[in-house]
Amino acid sequence: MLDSIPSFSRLVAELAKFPGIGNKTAARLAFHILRSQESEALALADAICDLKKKIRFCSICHHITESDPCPLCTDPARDEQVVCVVEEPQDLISIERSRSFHGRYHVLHGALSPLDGVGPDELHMHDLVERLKEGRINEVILATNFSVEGEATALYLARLIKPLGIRVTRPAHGIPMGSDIEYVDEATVHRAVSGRQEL
Amino acid sequence: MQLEKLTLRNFRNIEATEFRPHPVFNIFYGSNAQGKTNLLESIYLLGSLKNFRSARNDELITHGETAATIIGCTRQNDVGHEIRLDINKEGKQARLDGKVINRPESYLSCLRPVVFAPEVVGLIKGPPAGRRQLVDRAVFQADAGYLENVQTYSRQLKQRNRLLKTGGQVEQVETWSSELARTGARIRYARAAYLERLIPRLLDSYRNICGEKETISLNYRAAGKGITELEQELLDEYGRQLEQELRYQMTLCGPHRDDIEFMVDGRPLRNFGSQGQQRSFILAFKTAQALDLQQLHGEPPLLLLDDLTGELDKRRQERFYQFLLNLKTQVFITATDIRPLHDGGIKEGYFIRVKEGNLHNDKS
Repeated sequence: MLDSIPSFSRLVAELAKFPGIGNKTAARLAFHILRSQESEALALADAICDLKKKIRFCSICHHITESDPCPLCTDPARDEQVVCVVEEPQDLISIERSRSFHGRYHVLHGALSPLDGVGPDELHMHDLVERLKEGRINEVILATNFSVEGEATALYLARLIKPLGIRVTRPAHGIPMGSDIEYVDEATVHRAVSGRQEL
Repeated sequence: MQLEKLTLRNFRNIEATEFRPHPVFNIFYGSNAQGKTNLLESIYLLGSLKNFRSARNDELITHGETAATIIGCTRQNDVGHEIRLDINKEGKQARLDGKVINRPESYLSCLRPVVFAPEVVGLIKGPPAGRRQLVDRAVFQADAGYLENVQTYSRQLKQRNRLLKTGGQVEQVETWSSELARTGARIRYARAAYLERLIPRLLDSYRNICGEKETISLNYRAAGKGITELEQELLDEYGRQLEQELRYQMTLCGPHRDDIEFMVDGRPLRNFGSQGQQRSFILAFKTAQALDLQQLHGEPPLLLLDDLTGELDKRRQERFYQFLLNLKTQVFITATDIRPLHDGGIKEGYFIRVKEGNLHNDKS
């Protein structure tokens, strides 16, 4: 039925490419755009183009940025002796939102996964080591995911970094804040109890 | 652990049936190839999401149909659940109380079936994989955290094997070796701890239920070692094998290649045991497993016994029926002839004649 309205079906098809968006949701979004003011539709289109035109990856930490180097890498208030390594830009944003960390970052853009053909050369690992060799950094926090691949990536990096005489740490993991122990899965409780801390 | 209702649709030769089992004894009897074992298979599959005989999905579906369904109403410590397994050619989907499961632990705790079948006896003489599976399934039923370790290990193993196949650099392989050693040590430790707990019961069952005189045991390389020691041991193993592994392009050692040796009077049962000893050993293993689960969860597991009369001689059968009468758990038994069961004291329960996939319930 949509075939008879090519401009509409084209938009639906484009929207349906988004993660988490199926054909039905795509059609709903398309109807929403159709009903909105032309200025709003243009603003959306412009925002998308602007993003693609302006956003680059920082040549130092590889986070998304409009200016290179990125504000996180140039901010003099941040501690340049500590660098936090994450898999994806989203992870960096999560840590920033927590306001728990005030050092520099390094985004790998993935994790080691031979099954997906991802080795050290496919990730931003070599230039991390180059950054470390400059000598200003004395601690690396390996904040890769706690998945099979994330753990292996952390271990690989730890072995690469430790010989440089730099302290390597990994965030603690265990029971999430605000959750009842009762509802947490056994494996997590097990890890949390064995990694307990003195009060 | 109780199965209060079983509903089958298009499962093998059973087109549609609904059955309310007896709380203790349920005996499926009739000639061969009528569907008796299919009933046990459906209960085992429903309760454990695994099969005790190998079968592709399309073999589980009635010929000419597209999907099979098994539904069970269970009761455990006074809590009722509905578990449901849908099977089509592409795969299986399990639901607990109508909801698709994403973590299997609570689903799998509903029935915890333990099976004794000719296929299981065959594992003693077969390759190590079968014995590993026998022990792994037992460990998993007793220790829910075990599954996560096994899943992690298998993912790490796939990654490492792919790396070896694609000629990855040694530093990378070594990283995966360390990861494998960490998870692998936990697997070996859990297996050894389970076996250590099981062996006294196993020996007891072998002598008292099976009426045998020999001393039996289970040999496993990790017995008596701590996790740290096991991890170091695995790291050394991977280190020693590395050259060969690079040549063969696969991981050649680790818990996924271990054997668990079944021993009678200090000799491996697979080489020296008689048929009778092998059957007694497996029966003792299964009863020890059932008693262990009873102690762990406060209730004995569901027992599925396939072709007992064909597998055990009269003397062993009678002792075993006495054990079942004392255990008072829900039991499902298949038999071609019900007289030996009657003679063994099993008189109360449902005796169900199975003919061409249909159930004929004569209460007694």
